[in-house]
Amino acid sequence: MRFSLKILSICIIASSCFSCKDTNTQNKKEVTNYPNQDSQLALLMREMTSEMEIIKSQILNGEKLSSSVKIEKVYTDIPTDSYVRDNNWFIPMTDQYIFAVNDLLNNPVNTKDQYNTIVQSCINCHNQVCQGPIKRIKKLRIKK
Amino acid sequence: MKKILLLSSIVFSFACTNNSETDNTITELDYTIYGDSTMTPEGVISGEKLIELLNTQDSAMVKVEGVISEVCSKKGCWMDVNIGGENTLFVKFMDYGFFMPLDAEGTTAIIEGMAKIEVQTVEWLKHKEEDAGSSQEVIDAITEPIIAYSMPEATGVILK
Repeated sequence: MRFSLKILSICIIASSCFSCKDTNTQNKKEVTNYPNQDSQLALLMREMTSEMEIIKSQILNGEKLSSSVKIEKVYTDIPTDSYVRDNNWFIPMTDQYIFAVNDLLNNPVNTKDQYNTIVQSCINCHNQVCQGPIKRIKKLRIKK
Repeated sequence: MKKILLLSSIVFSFACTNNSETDNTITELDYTIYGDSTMTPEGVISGEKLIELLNTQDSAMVKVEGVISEVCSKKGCWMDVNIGGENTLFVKFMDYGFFMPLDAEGTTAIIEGMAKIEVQTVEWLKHKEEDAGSSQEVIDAITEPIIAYSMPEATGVILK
């Protein structure tokens, strides 16, 4: 009986401490970094950026290269500005990007150069439309 | 045993008292953070103070407060913040890593990062007007770059 009362007391003390902790963490309210409804293409680009970070690390660590992002969706996903797809450079530039990615993954010979070619193809396209992320994309480059 | 129970009751009651005090604090500190989640409002300066700093130095690492006067209408990927009088601070976000809500205009913001005075190119100014849905006449009328207060890589923003 005494033992169970002791346990009960410990539980009360512990739970009161934890309840304080939970409340203190609510001092500020955090939200997502992307509060707006992003387009399909914008979300895909974010996925592609994360994937490029992974491939970069695989190259630098001499690991086997792999990718799970369905990059062909660049052709079909809806962009923020619908007119982007109407530009005559959109398809050829997307072709170049897809070619560069497949070249690296299927025929990895000079991986750092092949990787940087992909990064450059992203920059070329963003120079045409939506220059905002260019600074971020440049950080993907592998310095030699 | 009674002592233990008494002690636990005291601790519990203190814990509850502390909770209610913390609840009051929550109301006072209710804000949202974008970007650096560790950012706090401590050390914030006024827009006027920032202008004063940039009159005497090239750049300044600051937390500055102002009212958002315009947000990129497409993605929320840049904003203009009024920092006193007619003065505006143009803000973009580190690594394209966070955006502002599209309806944030009129909200008080604290922005952290390196502020400087920069040239805004004609190309950019035209692009900005396009984003804002301005008429072709307004866009064509832009022929000169402007010099503006700028924070090209804000690391965090607190919206009140």
